[in-house]
Amino acid sequence: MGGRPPRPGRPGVDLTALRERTRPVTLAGEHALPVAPALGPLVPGGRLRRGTTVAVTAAPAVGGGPGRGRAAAGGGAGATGARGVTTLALALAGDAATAGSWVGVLGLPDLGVEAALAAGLAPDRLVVVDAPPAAWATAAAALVDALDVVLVGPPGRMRAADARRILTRARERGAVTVVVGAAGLGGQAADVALTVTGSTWYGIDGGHGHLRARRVEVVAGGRGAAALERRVALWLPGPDGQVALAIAEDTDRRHQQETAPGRLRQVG
Amino acid sequence: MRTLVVWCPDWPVVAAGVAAGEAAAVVHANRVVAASAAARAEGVARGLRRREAQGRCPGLTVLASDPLRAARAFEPVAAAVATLTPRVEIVRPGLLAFPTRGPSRYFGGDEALATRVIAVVDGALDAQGLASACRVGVADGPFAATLAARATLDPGVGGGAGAGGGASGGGAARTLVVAPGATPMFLAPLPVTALGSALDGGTDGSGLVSLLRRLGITTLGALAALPAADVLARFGPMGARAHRLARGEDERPPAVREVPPDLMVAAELDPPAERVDAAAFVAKTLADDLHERLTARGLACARVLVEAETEHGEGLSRLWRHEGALTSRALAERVRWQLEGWLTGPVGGSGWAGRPSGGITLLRLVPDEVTAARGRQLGFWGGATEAAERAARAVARLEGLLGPDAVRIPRPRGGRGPGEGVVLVPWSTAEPLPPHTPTPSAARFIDSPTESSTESSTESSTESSTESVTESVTESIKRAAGGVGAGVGGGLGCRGGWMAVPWPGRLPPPAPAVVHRDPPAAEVVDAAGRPVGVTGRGEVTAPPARVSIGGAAWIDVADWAGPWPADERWWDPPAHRRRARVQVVTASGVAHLLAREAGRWRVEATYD
Repeated sequence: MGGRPPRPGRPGVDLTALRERTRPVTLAGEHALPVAPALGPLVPGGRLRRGTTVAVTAAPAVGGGPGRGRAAAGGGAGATGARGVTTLALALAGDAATAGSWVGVLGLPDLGVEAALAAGLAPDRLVVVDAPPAAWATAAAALVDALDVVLVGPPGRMRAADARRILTRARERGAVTVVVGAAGLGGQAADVALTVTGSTWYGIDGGHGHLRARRVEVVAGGRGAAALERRVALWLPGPDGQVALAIAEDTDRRHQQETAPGRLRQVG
Repeated sequence: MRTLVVWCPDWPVVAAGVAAGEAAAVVHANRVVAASAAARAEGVARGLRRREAQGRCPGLTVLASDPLRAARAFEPVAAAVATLTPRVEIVRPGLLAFPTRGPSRYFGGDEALATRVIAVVDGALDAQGLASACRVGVADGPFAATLAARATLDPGVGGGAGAGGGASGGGAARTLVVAPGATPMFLAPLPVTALGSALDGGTDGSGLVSLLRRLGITTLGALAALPAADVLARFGPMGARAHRLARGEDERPPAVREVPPDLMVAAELDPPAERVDAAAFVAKTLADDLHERLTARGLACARVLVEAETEHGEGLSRLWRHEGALTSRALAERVRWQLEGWLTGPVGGSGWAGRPSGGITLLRLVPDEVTAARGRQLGFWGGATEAAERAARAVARLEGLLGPDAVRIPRPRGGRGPGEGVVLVPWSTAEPLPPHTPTPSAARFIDSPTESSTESSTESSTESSTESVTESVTESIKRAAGGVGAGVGGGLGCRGGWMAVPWPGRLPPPAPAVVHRDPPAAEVVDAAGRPVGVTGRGEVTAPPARVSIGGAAWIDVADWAGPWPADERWWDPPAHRRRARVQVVTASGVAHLLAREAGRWRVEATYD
């Protein structure tokens, strides 16, 4: 009956849209939080399905040469590989937060709050929690119980039973757990696994300019609907501060030109 | 109800122990919230920015706002007045009220009572060594009595009423007794701005006041002359309340509901609490509990009795009242202030019921005056409100589990460094952000046209004055938003309503996603292996070629930028910091923010 044309003399009613809106049943796949359009290709369906787990890690640097000794340096940076993992995790939560979700952060003591807010997290709906390792699992369970998105940086050693408990709770309550860093969540496989494989910064050149844009390569994998491996190049962030897909060559070149430091140019 | 109000002018300043002739001001969030008489004579007014106040009065002593200090110092005053009458209500530190019917008859009239109160309060202040000349006003109702007490300080306000309105200046100029029944005449010539602080802490109140003024209703008398029904129809319950106040009637209709007995909440403390935070923690749960019971019955509490018993059987009690209804957080805050007053006040020896001799074993909150809650409308489908309540419950649980400082939320502060623009503050102490407006601190750097804050009378409560400052500032932001928000070099461009604030020389975006709480040391060398430094002119001695972080292996530097020198707080030697920041990108594509200070490099942040 949705296809019947509206009777003459009455304002046209889009019955298909009306039916969508009044339908009583929502499917599991529709219980989802929005993500930025640029990050859509990374997650199945282009949305963060509620109750799922996303793990964000960085691949070990290849060809870094003498750089590999750095893993011991500075807690947060050493644990995540420092190639865009935290920014990617924040970007994942950004659109959901803008749409009204509460975001919790646990176990990321060095989080740059300014970057979190720049990613779109709302200052009045962001809760940052510090927990000692002994109380970590309890705190994580309490957070996934109540909040929509929880960013966790798990401690190095974690009991598998605790991790399972947290994930079960998250599935029941419909919270999205974003696991930041290489430690993983007690050996539990994530529904979506994002790995940053390469990162290049633009905007600085031999003492001039300042960091403006970064191009990262992200490999997405996971279980179920996310099992198919996808490779995506992202601006994280682009020169305008937003996350964007880096697909077309010309946009890449344009961004690179935009981010070139302001040296003197011959203009005729 | 005939009421006597004791008002100690500029209490936040007095409580800090400022001497009589000294120019001093108490500053909260960079705005003056109270100033001493000497400072006011130099032109320092409430709402001024700190720097502006210092400019007007170079010898100004600037004190940080400390509500606990004010509450603590006021406790002996309240105890002193309590020797005259049992029903002392503290409106806020610096202002207390009690009904005069009984005591006035006992002491032989309002004037005699006022004289006695002044003597007693002066004694209490002298015992603490505080310099303040308290003022006393007596009138029908606490609102008029407060204005009467204020009028003693400002003869221009009360003089006309004293002559023509039948009010009599009792004793010295520190007392003003408005004759019974003469309150409406006393109030009539006063400006409507006097209502501001009495209406719900200035949130809707200041809006109503400014609306009335724009409609040409400039005095309380003009407002009182309007028909009550029309005022209610046009301005709603807030307007009706303002009308009642302007007519000199009691704030609320006399039919205040009887308190059902089971609303009292109490908790036993075992072991006895001798420290404030231990007792305050219990007080918070009590306040939540009381609030829950009240809301379950659709009631709100405007006055609460805080009672405590010590292990030696001493009983302490004090009434607190609040304009509007007490929320659970406001209630917990007041109980905390009161506990602070009891537990850390001067040791009892001055004659007043001083500090108790033992720890607190029992804490009781008794709602003393309850009214029907006007409530707030929840979202039709629960929606955001339900999510917020769920989050608040989780936070409360985590606070209980991990301690109150473990759960933090971001609040803007401003600064040049990577972690200074926004800081995390404990949830329990954070003030709420005004909804859908830029943050208050964003406004500190914008000159606000001072209209609402300077016009209202000399002192208001710390909290309501900061609120009104926030309000006026928010307004000025709305006006200035177009001009200031855009185009600030290196401003923080955030989504979600957080506005750019000009901090010249701050780090350009993007902000680093990892800001090291404990910055690891780093070494930076040039191509020849010599350490790289930054000269006094803000230039690097050689381009950095390799870095080593935290003693780890050397990494090649692929590219770098900077340095950006930051010489901060040079006027304040203990807080002075001189740094130069450099961005480096290592060969593996990792970007760090290095800072050189006192000849050493540290990794301040990482662009993770």
